[in-house]
Amino acid sequence: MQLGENSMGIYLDNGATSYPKPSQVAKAVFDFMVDIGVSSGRGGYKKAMVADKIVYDTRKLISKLFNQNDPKKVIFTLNVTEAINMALYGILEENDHVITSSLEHNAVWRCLKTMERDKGITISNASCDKDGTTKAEDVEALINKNTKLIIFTHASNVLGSIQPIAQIGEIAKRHNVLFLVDTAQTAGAFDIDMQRDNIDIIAFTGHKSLMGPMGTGGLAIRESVDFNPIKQGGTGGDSAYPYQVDYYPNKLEVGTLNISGIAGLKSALEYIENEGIKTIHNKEKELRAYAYEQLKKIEKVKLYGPDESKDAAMVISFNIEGMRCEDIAYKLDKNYDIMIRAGLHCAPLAHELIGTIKTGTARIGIGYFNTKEDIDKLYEALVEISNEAYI
Amino acid sequence: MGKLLESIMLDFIEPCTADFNRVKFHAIFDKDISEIFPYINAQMKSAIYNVSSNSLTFKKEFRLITLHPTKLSVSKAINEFDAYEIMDMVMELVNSTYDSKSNITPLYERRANPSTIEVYK
Repeated sequence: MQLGENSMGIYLDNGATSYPKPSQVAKAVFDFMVDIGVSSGRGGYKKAMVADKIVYDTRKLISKLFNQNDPKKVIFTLNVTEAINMALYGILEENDHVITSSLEHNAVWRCLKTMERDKGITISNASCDKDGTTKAEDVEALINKNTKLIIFTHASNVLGSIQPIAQIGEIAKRHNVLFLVDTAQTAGAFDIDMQRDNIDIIAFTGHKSLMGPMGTGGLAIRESVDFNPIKQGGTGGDSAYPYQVDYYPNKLEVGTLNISGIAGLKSALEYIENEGIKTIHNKEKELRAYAYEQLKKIEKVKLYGPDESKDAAMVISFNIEGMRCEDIAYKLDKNYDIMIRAGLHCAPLAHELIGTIKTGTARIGIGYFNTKEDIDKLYEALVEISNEAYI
Repeated sequence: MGKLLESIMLDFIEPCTADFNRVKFHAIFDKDISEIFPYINAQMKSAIYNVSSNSLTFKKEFRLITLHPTKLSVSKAINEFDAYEIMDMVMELVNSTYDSKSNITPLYERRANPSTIEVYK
């Protein structure tokens, strides 16, 4: 299938990746590949030094975004999943205990379950209500003498529920337990502050609300936190030394970086800084509330997660009585050129919670470039589709 | 008061001759900053102001940093990240000193080393 210039359609799958990107992001990637195009940390020629500077500036922008205190401990990875793996395998050892939410994405959950099976860690899941909100005191009640880490999604990618990371961070600090936050659904659209919220490690993706290219993500690590690398290899310097170097960022970053992607991410971060996180957040919040209100009007639609009155990440999960969620997504795409996602969204725990583990849900993901008109068209389409539902 | 330095551009980087675990680099200032040397010299007690060669040298932990009128020379830096971080630090040092020049009495000569007796006092 070929898609032409007029194939934009209505994109409502921003929970998977944001689209479109600000045009300057694509231009930055193009300009880097055409005008610079060389690796960083590998050469002493002028272009290599320009590449070094792009990576350095991007680390500083990420550090500033999260109020992290040491840019050399901003580590680039291919995506947030790799970042989470890097942190979990670098930190956890046999008999360590981990506390997590009841909503985790498989990026966290599969990693923890594999380590439980193969490495002998233990896991506790903090309970939450039907909307997916956890009480911080329930997290504290799970801490034991072996608890090394609390890892929490900032927002459920199925329900949008925001977790009380500031309160959990305070608890983690008081008990001297590391606190890692998965910001896949929130970085770029929510104010996240590592100092204020006592977060030790942030795992981020560059291609969702940060509006950068796919293939970018990473960790922002507090200055005082240190853990072992899970990969060893070339770092561009100290080449005669036979082991992985112990200084950052090279300790955790091996091989050639995705510098064209990082150039795009840098441009995206500059775009976000110019627009302002508050502006982005407020626009998306207003659109989510509007979408929730509209969908609520459709008789056969069942909605999950926080309602329009609550702050939430920009996803809404729903089903239509008498219709498979995959059919809803298919009809929206085929007949209305509206793109949404259907299924379990790689987060089975959230579906266990809301009773949709066997059916999945349809999910819309609202982005900064969506409009009320997009939501109106979705509403009109769903009214028609729901009339086709067989009950 | 405005800034003295607008930019520093990395110009050369390679492994240190004396220590292959470290890097040395040069960077170019966008203008001559030598007028600020006596003021930094007055503020930074560990700096060595070499009047005859018109340069100022100081250490940041194990790194050796020398400011020339239009060039920065650094040895024993850790990596490229460290190089850029040092460049930021020098930019801040030069501009903040320039900004508070009126409150500093410049020192136009190399600071004398304390005598043995002074050290034992």
